[in-house]
Amino acid sequence: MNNRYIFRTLLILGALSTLTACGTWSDAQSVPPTTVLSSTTTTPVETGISASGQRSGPSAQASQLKLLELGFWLADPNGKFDDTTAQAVMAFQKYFQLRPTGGINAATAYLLERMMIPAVATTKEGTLAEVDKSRQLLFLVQDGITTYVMNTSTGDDRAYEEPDGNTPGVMIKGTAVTPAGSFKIDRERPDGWWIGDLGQIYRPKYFVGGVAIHGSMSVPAYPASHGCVRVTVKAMDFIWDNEILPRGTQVLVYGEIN
Amino acid sequence: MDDLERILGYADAIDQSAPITKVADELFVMSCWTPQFCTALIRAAEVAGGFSAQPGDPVPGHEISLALISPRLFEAVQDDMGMRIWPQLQQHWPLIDYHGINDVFIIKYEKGGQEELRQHHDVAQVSASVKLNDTYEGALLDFPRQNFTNAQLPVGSLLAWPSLVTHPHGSTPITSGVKYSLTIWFELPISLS
Repeated sequence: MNNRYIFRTLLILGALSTLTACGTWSDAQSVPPTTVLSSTTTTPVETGISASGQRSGPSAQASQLKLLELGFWLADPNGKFDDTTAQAVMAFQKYFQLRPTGGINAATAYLLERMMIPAVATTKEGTLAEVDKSRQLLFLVQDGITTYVMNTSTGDDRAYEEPDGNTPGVMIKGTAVTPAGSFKIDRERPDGWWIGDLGQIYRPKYFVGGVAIHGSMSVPAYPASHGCVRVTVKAMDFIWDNEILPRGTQVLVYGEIN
Repeated sequence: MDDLERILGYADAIDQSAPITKVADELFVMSCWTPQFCTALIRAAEVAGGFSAQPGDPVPGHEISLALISPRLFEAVQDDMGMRIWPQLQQHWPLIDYHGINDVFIIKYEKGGQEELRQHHDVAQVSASVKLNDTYEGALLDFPRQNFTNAQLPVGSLLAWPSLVTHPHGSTPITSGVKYSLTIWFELPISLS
């Protein structure tokens, strides 16, 4: 068992112990599936996996635990529907070809509850990162095993002309392409935010020219970067803190922008 | 055109014959689906089974989600609502944004089964109801504050209202036949940064 699996298992076990130790939630768990906020207000199921949207609570925690079990990374399965949970839901929806709303609707809940097989990358050997441009997903693979899947936003293949963030008065023209191919992490910046020519990037790991996997404050469901591979700031911290993509790690980019 | 094509391909579904119309205070009606598609939905729901109330639900409904019939159908409805129905609603509620569907489900009413649905609010941004058949008596979708029922609406029409506070609604007792109606809960605005 590799250390990623141990980490994921500990996260899940820790959350389960919290779930049973928490009196409020234990009480909530005894409430029937379609409970109400008031006696005359319908609301979706609040225990187990349900169409709970982006609401926090026991249902969100059940979804978080299942997302982690299937390999979709999020920071903490504590029942709080944070941005990393929304990202994990988006990644799940993309993987299973649902509309990536980032909220748990009925179709998402239906599939999430029933899926038993963890998500897998195309690669079955080696340690690397896979960037699927078609599905806008980032797969982290260790020793041939897909350990985590993250929502990502790559270049959208469109032409751009924008002010140079480092040189006032200068415009930069280009095309927002995330190049396909096999590359390696060749340089990186470990700490904090950096002002790139085309915007701020967080703890980047470059793999071809100025194209990097980096943290961003905006990781929408669709291609939106100038060519870089965006993940959330928390996801980037997780990658750094767990030494998942050290210098020299392969980055495999494939697929087409739809 | 058969049921399979209608349900899995969302074919022969769309009816755009009647534009959005105000029928009562903050209650709007527009054509949505063809009668043939509504009939196919009923047949699919019956074949899928599972019309049952959740135990202990204070506002119980003998219902089945379209996600259970087919997640692909759920997605097709979600896309159609966003592209076709929501822009019409925005003509009257210009500041609403579309965040998809939380759930869309069919409720079945019959004597000896679910006979009525008491007054309640929904937890959603906007709610909507599509009349799937009219071969029953009673079982009116009733809005007492707006003094409105859906008695005169044709099969396939969509009735929309703000979900909370102003539009408590329920279904009056069914007296004969079997009623199928479809409810849509549009997702609340996403609050995450």
